Amino acid sequence: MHNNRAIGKVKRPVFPFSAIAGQQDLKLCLILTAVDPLIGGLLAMGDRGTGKSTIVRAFAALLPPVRAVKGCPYHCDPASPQSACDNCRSSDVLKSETIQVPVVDLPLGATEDRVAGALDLERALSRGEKVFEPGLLAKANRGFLYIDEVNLLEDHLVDLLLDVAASGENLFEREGLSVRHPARFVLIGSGNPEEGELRPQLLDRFGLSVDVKTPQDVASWVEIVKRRDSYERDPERFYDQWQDEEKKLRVRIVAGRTKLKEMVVPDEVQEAAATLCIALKTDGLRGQLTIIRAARALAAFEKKKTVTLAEVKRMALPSLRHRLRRNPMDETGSSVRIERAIQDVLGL
Amino acid sequence: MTDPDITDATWVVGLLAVWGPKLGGVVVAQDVADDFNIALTKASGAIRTVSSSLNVEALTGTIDLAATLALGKPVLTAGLLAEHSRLWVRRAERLDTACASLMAQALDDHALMLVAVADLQGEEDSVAPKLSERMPFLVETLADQYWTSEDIALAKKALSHDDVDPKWVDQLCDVALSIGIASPRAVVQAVKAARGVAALKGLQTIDESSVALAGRLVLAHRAQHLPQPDQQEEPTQNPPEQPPETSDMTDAQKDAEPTPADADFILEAIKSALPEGLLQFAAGGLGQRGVSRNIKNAAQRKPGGLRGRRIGNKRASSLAGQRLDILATLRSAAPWQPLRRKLAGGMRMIVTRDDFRVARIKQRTEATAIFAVDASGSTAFQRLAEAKGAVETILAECYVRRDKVAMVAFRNRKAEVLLPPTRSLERAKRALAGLPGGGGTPLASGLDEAFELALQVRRSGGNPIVIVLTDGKGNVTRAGEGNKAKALEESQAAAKMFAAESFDALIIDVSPEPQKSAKFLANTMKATYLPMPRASATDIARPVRLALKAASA
Repeated sequence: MHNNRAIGKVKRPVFPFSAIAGQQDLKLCLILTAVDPLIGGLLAMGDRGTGKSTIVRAFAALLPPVRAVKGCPYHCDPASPQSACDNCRSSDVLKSETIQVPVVDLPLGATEDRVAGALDLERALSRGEKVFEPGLLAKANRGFLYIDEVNLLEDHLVDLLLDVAASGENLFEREGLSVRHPARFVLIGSGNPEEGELRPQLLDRFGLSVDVKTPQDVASWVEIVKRRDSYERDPERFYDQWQDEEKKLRVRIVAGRTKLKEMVVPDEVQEAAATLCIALKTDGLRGQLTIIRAARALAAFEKKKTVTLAEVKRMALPSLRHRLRRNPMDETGSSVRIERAIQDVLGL
Repeated sequence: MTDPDITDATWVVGLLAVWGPKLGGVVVAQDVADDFNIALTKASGAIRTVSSSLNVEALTGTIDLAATLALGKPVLTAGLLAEHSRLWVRRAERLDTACASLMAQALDDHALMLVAVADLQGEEDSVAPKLSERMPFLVETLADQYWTSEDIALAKKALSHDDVDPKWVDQLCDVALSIGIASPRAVVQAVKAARGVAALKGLQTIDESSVALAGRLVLAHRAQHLPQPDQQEEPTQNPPEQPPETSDMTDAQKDAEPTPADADFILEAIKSALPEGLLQFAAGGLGQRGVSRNIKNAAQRKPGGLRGRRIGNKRASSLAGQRLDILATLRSAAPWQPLRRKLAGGMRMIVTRDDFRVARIKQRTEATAIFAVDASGSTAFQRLAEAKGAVETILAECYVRRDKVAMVAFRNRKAEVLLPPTRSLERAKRALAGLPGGGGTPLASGLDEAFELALQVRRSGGNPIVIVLTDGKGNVTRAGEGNKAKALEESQAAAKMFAAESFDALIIDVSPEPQKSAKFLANTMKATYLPMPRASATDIARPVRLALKAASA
């Protein structure tokens, strides 16, 4: 049931992240979630055919590798025992290995077994042992969980996700098993807003939100088509051609992470973010926290000395767009309201 | 096969045979499906047929019960997507969302060539947009000739992998944008199709006619309008009953000069394949036919498993009328195996009645609020604004409850479905934005439309609630004539239909004074009558919300 459907088919390299033409907002926001995972994920809503899933899959290949405990199903961080699973925490000696950052696809029709985990049938049948077989949440620990068409996800899975996202761990109490394991991941969702709304609780879970649109000029299209065509004819060669770009970007992300630790957020920036959120009446503190984190990650990624109002201004829209209260009588879009508030509050 | 005048369907067969999974697939109209199957089989061998009622496990693989029981350890089946790189899906419009998503991903990975057979007659049902977007072709005609496997083998060899001349890409992009195609993906497909056409023709490089043909095969059926960028956004001034003559249209086109002259050959090829209706729509400046159709389909597609969602499993000693949850059963049997084997001997898996588990399903009927709004006469403006507000208020709450909203407006001579059942606030806003008011009251037509919608909702397993905002004073007949007596007779007849189907209905009387006519209508409809003079959107939303809650419980 958990077999990989690509069995027997040669895996081709994914389309390189750097080779994606346009979609600057989405690309930048994805990068920022990698610079600071605490930003809390990204929601990309837009029309079909805008290449949302291509970008996310390309992003997976871009991420710099990490160290993980060898053989641990949750790929715990050997350097951070407090966030490790029970098993890793109680072991004295841990062997570690370098792994790709997991980017796990949560398909729409996934069963709860598949997502949360289940009793390991193999072990149970052949040896009569009750062992937990980790699911997608375990796989995504320390990485990214990608849900395409997140607005069509079934309610019971949404509940499960909300629960796990809030606590950072998956509590499994079924079939006579009681398991608790870390499940900290960056949630990436995408979908077409025409097809349905997201539950507000889930919406709030996403740190950033981007409206994805296809460019409508011939030049951009030609570039997109040429690159895609070139990739599809010879994925390996195309991938090689872009390796340098990919490496550069990867190095910048790593440098951004280092810089993030020493990045200070001046009081005036904190205040501006708070005033902005108050002016827009966003629910809860999450919006304000996200702006600050995103602005800080942006400053770090762009090698700025300190966070300024300019970063706040740039990150306000993606941080707040999805947090405004809806007023059915008010036709004004979120973006316009936020831009207006930026002007009023920041005078920019 | 040398005849150059072969039909589009024949070309599509050839292209799919040459490219295989690397070119996605095709949507085939139900009535030409058999013919297409023969042609495709001749060109590239038999293709695995599946029914659209298949489930996710069939695609991804699941536990093989017989083998598992025999061997005493789980044996998995491979799943259709792993075993086959070409699938033929019957009645593809019925595919559930989860299966469609899996197939879409396989198409993205170039791991699947999909032939989706669908009934293209009905406006409502079509193949999921996420699939049709990934499949370059649409076939509605017969394949008149057959490619042999030798033809295909030769073409595969001839298939060029060189860079395509940039001017073709420029021109294809140009044309695609000018006819309102939303995604560059279509052009990527067209470029591949052009390579394939050239290969099938035995050419070394892509020539103009290959590009034109590829444009027609891939782009034409996605066209939203003819290249008239100036008219695209303007609301039409012409009543739709009088489409301007063709000559006007070509004149307008010449004036607009939307595309460079050298891309005209693609455009000409595309025009020859455009559906007739589109030409008229384009001429009238309404370029959104295809878009709205797609959206409609997207919103009406039923997410998988809504009718009853699995919330776990339970023990069941008898299986009457229930489906065994095989995995859960095996899991519950598993821990006992060493013991049972000791007692019974042998190595077989032993499952007893105690182990049986069946899926626990939580029934939740999806409720759909259908607003039928009287947009006639002088008070229309006020009523409409409030009704619109109420629709949006209800809709804004829908994400929590997963209910849907639809809206019918009736005014002047006829009734119109402004908003097919949807859960999307964005769509609702757009649909409701340009709603005009005024004119007579075709009450019977309004009720008819609402009735049709309610039937549709019920047919697809939902629970409809009809909310009529009116004063009950119909004065226009179904035929669109002003005749009070006949209008009353007809609206009473329409109301009786509701009673006969026992649809839940509310009549909200929004006139300044409660009207007898509205009460009378409510009685005939067996509907709840609520006089609400000067009601605000929130007032109207309140009883609707309660009714929805009751309907979906």
